[in-house]
Amino acid sequence: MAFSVLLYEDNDLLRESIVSMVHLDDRYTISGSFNNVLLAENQLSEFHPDIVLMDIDMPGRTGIEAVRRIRSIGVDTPILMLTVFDDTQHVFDAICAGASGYLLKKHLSVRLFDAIDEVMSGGAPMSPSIAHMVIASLQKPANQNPYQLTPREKEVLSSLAKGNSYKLMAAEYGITVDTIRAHIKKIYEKLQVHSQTEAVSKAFNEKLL
Amino acid sequence: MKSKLLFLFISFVGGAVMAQKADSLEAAIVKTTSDTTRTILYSYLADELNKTNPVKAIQSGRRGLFLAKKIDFKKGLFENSFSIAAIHQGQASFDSAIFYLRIAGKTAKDRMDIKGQAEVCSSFGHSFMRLSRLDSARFYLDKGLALAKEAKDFRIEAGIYNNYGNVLLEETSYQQALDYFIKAARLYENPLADEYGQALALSNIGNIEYRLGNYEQALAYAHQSRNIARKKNLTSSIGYAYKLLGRIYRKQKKYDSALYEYKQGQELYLSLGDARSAAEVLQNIGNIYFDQGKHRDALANYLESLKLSRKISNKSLMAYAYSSIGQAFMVLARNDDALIYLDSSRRAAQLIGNKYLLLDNLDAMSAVYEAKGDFKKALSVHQQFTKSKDSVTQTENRKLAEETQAKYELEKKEAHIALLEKDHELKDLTLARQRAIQAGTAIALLLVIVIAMLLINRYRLSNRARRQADIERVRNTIARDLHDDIGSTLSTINIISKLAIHDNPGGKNIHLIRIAEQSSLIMESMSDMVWSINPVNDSLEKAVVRMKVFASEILEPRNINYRFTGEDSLHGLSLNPEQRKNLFLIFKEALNNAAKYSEATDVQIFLGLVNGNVLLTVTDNGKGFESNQVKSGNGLRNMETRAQSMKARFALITAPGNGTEMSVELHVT
Repeated sequence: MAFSVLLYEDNDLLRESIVSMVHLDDRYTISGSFNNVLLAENQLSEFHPDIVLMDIDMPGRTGIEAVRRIRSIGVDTPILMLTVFDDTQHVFDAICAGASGYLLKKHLSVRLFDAIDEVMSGGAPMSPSIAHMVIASLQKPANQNPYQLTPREKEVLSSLAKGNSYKLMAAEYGITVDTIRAHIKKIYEKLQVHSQTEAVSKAFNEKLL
Repeated sequence: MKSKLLFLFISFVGGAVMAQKADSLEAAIVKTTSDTTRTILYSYLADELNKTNPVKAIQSGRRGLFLAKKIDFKKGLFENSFSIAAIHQGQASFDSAIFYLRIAGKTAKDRMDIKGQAEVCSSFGHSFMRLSRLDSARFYLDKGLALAKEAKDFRIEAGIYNNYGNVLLEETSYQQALDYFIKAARLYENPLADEYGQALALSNIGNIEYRLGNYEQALAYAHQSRNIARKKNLTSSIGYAYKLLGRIYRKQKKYDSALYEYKQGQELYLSLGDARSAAEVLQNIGNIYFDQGKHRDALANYLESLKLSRKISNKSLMAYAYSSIGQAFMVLARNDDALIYLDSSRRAAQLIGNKYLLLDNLDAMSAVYEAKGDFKKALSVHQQFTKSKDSVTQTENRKLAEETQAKYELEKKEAHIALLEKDHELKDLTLARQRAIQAGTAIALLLVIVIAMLLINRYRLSNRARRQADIERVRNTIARDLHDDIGSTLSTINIISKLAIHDNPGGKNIHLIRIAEQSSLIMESMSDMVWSINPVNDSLEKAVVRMKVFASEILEPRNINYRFTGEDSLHGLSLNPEQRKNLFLIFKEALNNAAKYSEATDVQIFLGLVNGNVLLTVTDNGKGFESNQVKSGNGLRNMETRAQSMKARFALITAPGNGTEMSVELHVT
């Protein structure tokens, strides 16, 4: 059974190209593709995709807003953000809203499937810029360490923020690259929990309400 | 000024020429066509004839006055009335002098001529002094002093000090008089540098010493005065000195010396044509002979004096001459002749109102009648004498009363003046306040304008800043949209080229592969560009992060070890977008070369602060190359150009088999 992919991308040509690209690999099928996210929640309930690819910058409603809405109704389908920009606040906002990871469009043709696989297997790619923003939000004096990160997670984060690659970090701390990935995934999760809407969705998931 | 000029003229040319001067003035009066000039010429002529022919002088002055009135010429009115007053003063007709001084004073006031008013006041003072109305004299002298100071005319001021000294002399306040004469002397010395005045002041001081009985000092001052006067040939001062010396010697009973001085004076006055002074001196000479008991010599001189006095119709001098002659005849026991002259003197004294002379004459006449044995006449004259004496006393009392009245009027006037001054001050004060308010308003207005300008400037600045921010935001939005659009499109091209390659396995895909590569490259460089213009990435630390990411992307797949050092020293440093872009692209080029061509297994990267400069070195352990040969290729020139454009020092050290070291040193302030 192939993974079903739901795609949101406002650039028609790119959207069609991605659809064609996904069709090339038998492991994935496109369950639907749209040029806006106005009905994203309904479409998610209707198609039940295994993963969502979502452009951040879209007219009408942004991908970030869509992620927030999807998470607020308790849907925890992995969402991989697509963007041209690798160093903006938007990516961080999307992660905080509940996105599982992101992929730069310039890497689409090479890394799309790897990225999908990584997200599906519980990983979460994070660039040094995003790490920077996470550290910045950790350093807010009013609320120290709101995400309850462990010392190791903090080390990984700051090393990542300095631009060190997973491989360099693994060499530095004497652990495997996979362990580094696990730490990063944990950091992502802790970020999600922190957002208010996410707390609601978490409560939903854990049937607390 | 006029009198001074005239005086100089007299001193240098002498009496003979003076007549010529009067003639030429008369001729000029006839010749001139301008009435205003004529009035002034009349006053000149009056001044000219003052001492030689007072009757004609007064006539000239009156003509000038009449003409000035007719053509309503104020200056002429002033000059002529002042000249006439001066002549009357010379004639000892002080009441008449005062009459004309009043006209002159009023005219000067109308003309707002402060100097003229001061001069008139000074003359008033002199006249009142001679009339023994000392309080009036003081009043005018005080007023004159204030006016002279206002007009800043030191000559008039000094003249007034002299007159004031004379008033005090009359009051026998010798010490105070001395003070005033000294004040006058100082002014004459400096700033006026006027020897005439100095001589005058010195002789005045000598006069005081004489009055005080200090004859030796008096003589010393008189000599000093005469020496100065002689040096500058100041004839009238020389004459005055002779008179003073004569007076002192007479008092010392050195009759010969006295006679010597007086006779010299006499000669001088005659040569000057000053009949009045000559007549006066003759009387003094007569008096000395009289003292010596040389009554005939005395009589001769008295008669000569009378002749001169008649010539210039000086009633006062005539009266004294008659009296002296009468007394001389009396001593010579020529009683009838004595009576004739004494009676003439009596009548003259009555005419000019000289009560004291009148009394003297009556007293003498009574004595003569007694000597003649005519006791009835003697008694009758004596009764007249007693009556006159009473009337003199009465007159003196009345005068005193008048003086008191005048004083009271004066005080009233002064009070009025004070009131007016107060009023003036008040007006000034109000004016000052108004001015202050005006100034205040002006300043306030200025302040408002300045503040308004500052506000406008500030508004404009903030507006500009806001506009700048707006522009930046718009630019960022455009850049972002463009980037998003082009980025998406390039991704599409990239994907489609890959799809095409996939659809055509084993075929000739070289062009498609190039499209895929190129689109990738463009996406990469566009990303670099957007990164470098984003102000968020100003700090060098951010640049290091991006460099590390690039290093990991390019070196890790090729299994090349690498190390970053020096980054800790960069804290807080920032670069401008141009420098940032250039430094990053040089770094990329260097790393590209190391990764793709050097066959290195290890790359050391240093980016840090060394001696205030940012130093970037990329060192690999690869095969190296001959720098001369490969210079054109591999983007080496590109790196060098970028370094130059940001004024950084660029160096490449390499040799075949020895690895490569690239370094860039950028000066930052």
